[in-house]
Amino acid sequence: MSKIKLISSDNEEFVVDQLIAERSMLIKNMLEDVGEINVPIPLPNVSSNVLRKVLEWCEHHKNDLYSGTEEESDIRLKKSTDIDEWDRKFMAVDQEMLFEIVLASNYLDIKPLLDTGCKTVANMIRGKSPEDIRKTFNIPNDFTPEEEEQIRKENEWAEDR
Amino acid sequence: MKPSEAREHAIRKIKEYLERRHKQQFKALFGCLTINIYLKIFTLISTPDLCNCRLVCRKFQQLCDYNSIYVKKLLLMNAWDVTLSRKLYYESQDGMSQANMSSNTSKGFHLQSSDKKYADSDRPKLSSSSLLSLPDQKIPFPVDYSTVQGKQVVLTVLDCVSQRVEFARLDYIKVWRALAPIYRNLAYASNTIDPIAFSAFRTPEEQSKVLKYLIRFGNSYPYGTYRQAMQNAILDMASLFEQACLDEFELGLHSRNLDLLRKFSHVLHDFSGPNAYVSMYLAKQTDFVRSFFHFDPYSLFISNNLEEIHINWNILESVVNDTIKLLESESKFSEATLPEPELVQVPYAKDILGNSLKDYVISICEHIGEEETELFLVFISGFYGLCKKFFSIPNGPALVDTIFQPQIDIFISQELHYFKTVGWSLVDQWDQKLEEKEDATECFFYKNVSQNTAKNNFLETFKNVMLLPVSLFTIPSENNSASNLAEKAIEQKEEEDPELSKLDAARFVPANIYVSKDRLKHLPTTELAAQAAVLDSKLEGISTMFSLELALKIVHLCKVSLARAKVFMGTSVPQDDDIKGLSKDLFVQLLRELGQGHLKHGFDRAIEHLSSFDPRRDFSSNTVEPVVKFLELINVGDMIQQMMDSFFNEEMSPICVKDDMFDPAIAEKKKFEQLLDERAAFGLHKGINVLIEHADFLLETKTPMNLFSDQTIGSITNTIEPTAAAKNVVQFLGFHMRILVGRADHEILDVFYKEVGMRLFDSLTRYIKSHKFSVDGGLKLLSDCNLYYEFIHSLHQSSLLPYFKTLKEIAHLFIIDGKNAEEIGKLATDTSRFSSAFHTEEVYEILHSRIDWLNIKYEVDKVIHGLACCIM
Repeated sequence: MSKIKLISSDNEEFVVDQLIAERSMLIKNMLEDVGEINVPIPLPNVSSNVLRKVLEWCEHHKNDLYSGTEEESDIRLKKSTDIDEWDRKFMAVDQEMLFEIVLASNYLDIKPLLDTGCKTVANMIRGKSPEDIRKTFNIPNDFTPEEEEQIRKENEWAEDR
Repeated sequence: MKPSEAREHAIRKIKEYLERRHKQQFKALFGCLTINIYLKIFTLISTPDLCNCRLVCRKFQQLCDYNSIYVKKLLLMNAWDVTLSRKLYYESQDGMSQANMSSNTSKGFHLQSSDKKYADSDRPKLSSSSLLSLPDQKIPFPVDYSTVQGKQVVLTVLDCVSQRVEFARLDYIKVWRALAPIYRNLAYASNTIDPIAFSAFRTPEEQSKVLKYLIRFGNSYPYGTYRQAMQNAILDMASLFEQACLDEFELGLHSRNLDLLRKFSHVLHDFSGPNAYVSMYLAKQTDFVRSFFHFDPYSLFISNNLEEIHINWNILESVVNDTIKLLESESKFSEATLPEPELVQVPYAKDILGNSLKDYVISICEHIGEEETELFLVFISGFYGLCKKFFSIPNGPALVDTIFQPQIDIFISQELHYFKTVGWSLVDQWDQKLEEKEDATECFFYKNVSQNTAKNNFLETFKNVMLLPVSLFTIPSENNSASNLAEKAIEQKEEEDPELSKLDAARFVPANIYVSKDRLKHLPTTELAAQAAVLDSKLEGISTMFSLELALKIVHLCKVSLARAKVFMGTSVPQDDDIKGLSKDLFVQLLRELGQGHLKHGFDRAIEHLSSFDPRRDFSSNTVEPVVKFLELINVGDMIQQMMDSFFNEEMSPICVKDDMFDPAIAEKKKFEQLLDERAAFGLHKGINVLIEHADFLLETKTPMNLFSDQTIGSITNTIEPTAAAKNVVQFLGFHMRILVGRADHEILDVFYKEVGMRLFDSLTRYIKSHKFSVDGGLKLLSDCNLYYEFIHSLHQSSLLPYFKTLKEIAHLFIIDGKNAEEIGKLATDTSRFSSAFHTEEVYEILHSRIDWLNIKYEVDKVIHGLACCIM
């Protein structure tokens, strides 16, 4: 089993099995394109703590089989709205780290991890009022009171009665 | 350098790859995450939560209004046509492009420019401001379900989607406005009366449509992917609705209410497809059919006074007619009530009626039992013939296929097995009778009457009879009393005239054929029976070897089997092939029973008689009986072969490829002919041996030792006439040659005559060499040879005459006085006299038979050798 060296944005080196690294379609396609040459792969978009977290997920799911297609992703999203226990614990991190993991999985093209991250964020939004959503994600309200009233009026069609 | 270069190349490529990926992600950043990530999240939350997100911040509002979110929802509702929307999008783009060009062209003209601006209002432009804030009037108002307009909006909402991407959100809002309140109302309902879906929409058609729309609406996860309870509640309500419709449908079936059936079958068909109501319909019809038909296998069979079982075809015919009526009435009924009648008509014919009749057939076959094979065959073939009526009505072939599918293969194997069993048992019975009769004294009965006329008449009648179709079953049209009176009259007549019973055609009508007795007397087979009786009496001589009646029985048995099998033809190619195979097998079996089973035994028995016959004895009747019998047998074999030719042309030609050597029927036919030819040739050989050996015996026993060597002077005065031996031989052979006329074909006679003639010539040559001849003896021999010559001449075999003329020349060698030895020598060397039969050496050898050979040898040798010296 060959080893792959990954370099994070802060120049920390991670040596992992090729099988684990290839959970990322980005890395898998790149290696197929470049050839099996032992070359370090710099990942300037991913910091070391995020990369360590992502590789932990890849290690746990190294035997999962998936093709990375959109159809597969849609099926996964519809089929099971629950997140399995291990993944739920894995995603129980602070919001900043959660977003970093989601961005990294999108960058590295690890669709199952991306789907799980999106489900986690969706669960954080579910059933909350606009003000609660702002608090959860620390989003400032940049509407004027008039604009907010106008939008609320537009939203009447979706109100539960 | 190379590894280093490759490494540098790889590093550079990786950097380029990752740099490109980085730029893609950077461009997509929209706040904390990329746009595609936000859109993925927003497709996972409910519509109310989606509206709450619109209130969070400006960015969230933009994201939540992306039409792609709502296209996906409409797709899940099965309300979005991807192909159509793409087409409309491209058309919209083309329209925009043309508008721009026109605007540029007409820039200088104020009026035209004004027109273009007006025209542009028909193609609304999507600007960033319209994405952010849609006008109020474009969001539809809530639907009032108590009004006709409101209900119409609901009943058409999923069919009125614009299929335009830019209006996807607006379309979704319209759907939500129409369906979401009803959806929530029904999901939380505690009964089936209060919900809007049932109280505002009162007809089953409307309710069906609303329920289907609600289910499709629920498929788009309007309240998120975590609240399936609502959708499950909707599905439960749909099941209740379907069951209520089925109950109404069942009520319609019971009360034969066509309107009720039509209404609810269409509602159910539209709501949940045909399966539910079709299954119920068929279950009801199954019960009805079972109560309609009271199949009783026992009443189908009638026993007459002779304990023969016949089939009451009237019952079966009424079953067929009743089935046709049921099919026709069901067809009308389903046509009048169901949206797709064929969904019911096909299984009704195939599974319900087909299975009922199939069970009936099975019960009848079980009642018949495995012992009554013939009755089984008659029933299956006859009933199939009746069921052919079904082929002219829709779904009829499927019905017939269901009824008989279990039976056809059994029929095919049983038909062949039956013909084998009965045919061979007839052959064996006849052989057994023959063994018993062998103990009795055999009496040869000879009638010197030409049988060619009788034979030709018989064959002509045989062909005519073969052309007749065999009636497997006939329903008598007379009433019972008239039929009984007719039967009594016939029986009385039969008692009065015993001779009539010999010609009774019943012998040629198998017992399984139901034919009224008055019709029996008029069957053409009567003529065939008469012909057979005449021919049988003439063939009495070989009655211990062959039975024409037996042959006719087997032929007719095969004919009946073929007729039963033909009933199944014309239905399907595989079945036709199976039936053709059966027909060929039956024909093969017929040839084997007649050939190897019967004729072969007869020939073998005749040949055995010939072999065991002692030709070297006197018999009082002066007749070689086995030869006569054998030759008659050859004649009969030829007649049988012609019968088989007629039978083949009539029955097998339509299904056999001519001259196909691999066809089993054609191959067996050639084998049959070969069997006859081989046996005939072998027997003829034996017969000729017997005749010639007896002729030798006569020559030996009728010739005194010194008959030709007596030198008494007084004998010259006696009258010259043939010897007793010659007279006996000619009489014996002549008698047997003459009795063959009319018993064998001309070709066979010619072969026989030639062979007998040549064998006689050889015998006479040896006979001459075994005796000593004086001049008087030579004169006697000359008389004998003249007699032999005339005998051969009477056979009309011109190719034999030179040989017997030569014998006369031989006699001349003996009548020359010994004193003229030189003349004898000259005569012996005259090759023109003997060229066709003898060489000079042979003639010289025959001269040894002269009683004075030793006295004249020197002179004869001198002549012969002298000639040789001259040549030298």
